[in-house]
Amino acid sequence: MINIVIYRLKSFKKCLEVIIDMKKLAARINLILILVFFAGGYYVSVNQIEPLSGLIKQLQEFVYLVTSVEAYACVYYVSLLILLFSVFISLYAAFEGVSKKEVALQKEIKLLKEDAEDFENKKVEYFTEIKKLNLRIQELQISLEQKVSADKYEKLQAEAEENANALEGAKAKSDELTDKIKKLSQKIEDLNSEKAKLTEQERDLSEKLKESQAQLASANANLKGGKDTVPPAAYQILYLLQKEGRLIDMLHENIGDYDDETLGGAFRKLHEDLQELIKERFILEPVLNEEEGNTITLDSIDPDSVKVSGKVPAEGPFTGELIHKGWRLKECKLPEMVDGWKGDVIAQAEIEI
Amino acid sequence: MAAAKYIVGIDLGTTNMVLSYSRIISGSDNEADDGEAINYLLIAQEQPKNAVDTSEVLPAFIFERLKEKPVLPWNSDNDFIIGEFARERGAEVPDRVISSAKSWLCNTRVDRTKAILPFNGEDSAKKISPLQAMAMFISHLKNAWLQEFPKDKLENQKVIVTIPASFDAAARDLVVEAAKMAGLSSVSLIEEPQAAFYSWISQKENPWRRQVKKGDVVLVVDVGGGTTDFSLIEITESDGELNLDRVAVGSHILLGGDNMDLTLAYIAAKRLEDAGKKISRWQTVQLSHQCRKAKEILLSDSEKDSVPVTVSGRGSSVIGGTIKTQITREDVENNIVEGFFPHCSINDEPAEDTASGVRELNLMYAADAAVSKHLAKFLKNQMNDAHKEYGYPNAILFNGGVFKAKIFRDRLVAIIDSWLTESGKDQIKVLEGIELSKAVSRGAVYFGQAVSGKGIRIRGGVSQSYYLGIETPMPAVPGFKPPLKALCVAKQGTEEGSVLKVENQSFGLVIGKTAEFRFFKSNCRREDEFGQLIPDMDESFEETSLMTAEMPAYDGLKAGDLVDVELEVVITEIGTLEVYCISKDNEHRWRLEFNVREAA
Repeated sequence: MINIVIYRLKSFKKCLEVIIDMKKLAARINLILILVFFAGGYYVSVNQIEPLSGLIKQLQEFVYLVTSVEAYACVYYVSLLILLFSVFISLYAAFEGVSKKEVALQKEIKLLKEDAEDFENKKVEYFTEIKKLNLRIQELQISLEQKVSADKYEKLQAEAEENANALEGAKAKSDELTDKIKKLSQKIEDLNSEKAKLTEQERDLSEKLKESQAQLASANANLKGGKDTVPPAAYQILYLLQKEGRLIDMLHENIGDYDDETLGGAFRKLHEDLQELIKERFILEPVLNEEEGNTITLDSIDPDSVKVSGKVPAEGPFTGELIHKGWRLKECKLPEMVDGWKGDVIAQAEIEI
Repeated sequence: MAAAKYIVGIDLGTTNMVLSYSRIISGSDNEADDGEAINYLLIAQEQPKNAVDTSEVLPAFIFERLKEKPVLPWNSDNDFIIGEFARERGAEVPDRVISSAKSWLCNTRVDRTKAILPFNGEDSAKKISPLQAMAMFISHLKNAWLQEFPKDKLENQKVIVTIPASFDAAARDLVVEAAKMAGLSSVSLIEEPQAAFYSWISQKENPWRRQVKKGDVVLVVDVGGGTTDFSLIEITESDGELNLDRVAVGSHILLGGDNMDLTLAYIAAKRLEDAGKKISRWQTVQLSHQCRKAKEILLSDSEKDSVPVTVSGRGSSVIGGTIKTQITREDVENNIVEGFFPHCSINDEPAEDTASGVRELNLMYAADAAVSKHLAKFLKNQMNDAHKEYGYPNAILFNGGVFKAKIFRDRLVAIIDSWLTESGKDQIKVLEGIELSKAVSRGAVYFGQAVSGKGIRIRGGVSQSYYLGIETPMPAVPGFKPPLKALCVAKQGTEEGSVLKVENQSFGLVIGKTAEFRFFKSNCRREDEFGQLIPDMDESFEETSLMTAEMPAYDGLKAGDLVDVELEVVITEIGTLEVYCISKDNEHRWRLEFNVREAA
């Protein structure tokens, strides 16, 4: 019996020890679980709830020495073990999760650090490159300056030498050539002067011929006028009257078939054009600047400018009615003809292409 | 060189050229009003039928000879006819005539030294460059002068050439070069509106000092045959004397009196076509002459309601072939007055050519005929600028034959007054006494007298600001151009005779290559200072010709070597702009030339 008691005490002690050994949380859980377990066991045994009470009884019967408390304890241990195991497993799993995250973070940090380092390196590289370039530019500038002056000097020297050589050669050649040229130009001059003399003579002669012919013709025409001779100005005046005022066309047209309105309209335009031409080319003024119809008295009469009619006395003064004022050509502004009038055309034929 | 005996003013008009001159009188007092009388040269020109005639006006036409024999004493072997006969033949053979050469000279879209004129002529035709054409005209004037004054060659006289105010630096250079090609090595330039202003100053019936006062801003409106030009001149005072400052110029507008005649000719032609009558090209030219006369009658004679326009038959049946229609007062009022001077608000802008993307390469004719809208834009530009008061002129000076018609002057004054009243300003004053058609060449001569100390001088200086394009250094990125900064190399108004050095900016140029800069101008950036670097380039900058300098090897420097240079800018006495690159080491200079060959 004592043995049993000792054993029970021992086992209880063991039980306590286990509970104490457990960590605070586990102990609390255990405590709650123990209470729940005992309460459950009590509830099961009091109310005889199957199959648990049956299981406990069978366990009591199978191991006699075991009291119902011991049997409970037994079951409890087993279930506690399972529970502990599961707690341990779950805790372990949780720990592992945390550490995994940490590892991932650390990895990331590491990568970032590497990147930063890379940047740093690159920056340094760029700086050195820029420095190099700057140095290069300076070098280039310096070399450029040196080059310019050195090149200049060399070139000038070489040029000077070359020039001197060339000069000598050229001198000799030019002497030779000048001699030749002199001879040739003498010949050319001789020939040219001969030729010039001849052409001059020829031109003079033909010009004289032409001039005298033209002079003869126009002198004839201007002096006598009349049959077979046309002064150049006659062509020119007819040409202008036709060109500007279509006078020849107008006078040659058979106007009998046109009504007065058509005629009036057409004539108005032609009258306008001809008036313009006369005003522009021929400056006219009246011979006697008096109102027509007035009675006037003249002491003497120049028959070229005043025509008298009616009962004319032999001597002046002449008194009578002014019938027509007369016109005097004060100025003639015809275009200057360069070579007289060529041919006999006063209005060209026109063709539109 | 013999001492100059005459001051000569050459008006290089778009359609007509005039040369006026006056004797230089030495030792007289300094009053311009007592200056010698101004005369016009009678310019010898070819006529049909081997004839030569003289006229005060040289029509600006060049015709490539067909079989016409040269008759002028100085160009017995010339392939081209210049002047009246050229215009006449040009109407008959349009493919062989060059007109508006002056406007081609400032067309940045073409190579102005390349033989491209007549522009639409056949390829077989002999072509010449706008520069050559201009040189031919000047050369013709030079020879005509020699006929009149065999002892006083034109190259020995003091010659002043007029140019549109809107000509940019490159076009000005070309005029000077053309004069050089013609043998006139030293000419001065003057802007046409300024010349008109001088002409107004020189007249005595309405003394100018009584018409304007200190602080007035005068708007000069110059509508010529083919171009319209605006300028603003400010009256200032110093030492008790009135001074004149040209403060703004407009842009080049190809629009003028000829457009009005053409408008009426189209109306008349349409009317004839509607009546079933066919009009040939030759007849359209005649119609245009008739329409001009009709316009002048209707604008001056307020009683007539319509004027008949008649085109004679081309064949020998002159009366039977006559076709007739009329131009009515309504036509003129609706199409000319309303078309060219419509009432508009100061905010109206002239219509742009919408088809610009596919537009044929040609002269940049104005897309909108409304002179009043072009003027609105010009004044509006001034208001947006530092000197707002320039947008509200106090007085107006008209020039150009168009303004002989009172109705145009009155209409333009009414329009400007409506703008001024809207802003609470006084109405504009019309300056009296200018002779409208030959004022420019007269004014040029007066300018010549003013330069030699006989009379008041307008201070003009550079007409607009100029910039070199500087590329911002940055690493290459494909498909992305480095941004451009603008370096101001000429400030608007910088006086002639200035020599300026750009500080703090140097450039590395490579020997053996062509240094190249893009070149910009602007006429509404008054606040930019010389040498200033403007980082953001907006629409107020307009690109013109490239500036380039050949960099040949020199002084031991060879191809590929790098030179450090600084920029120096010279505004010459004759009014041109020169830019030099100066080596920092040895002061060697390279001139940057306008590259008028490549279109901007």
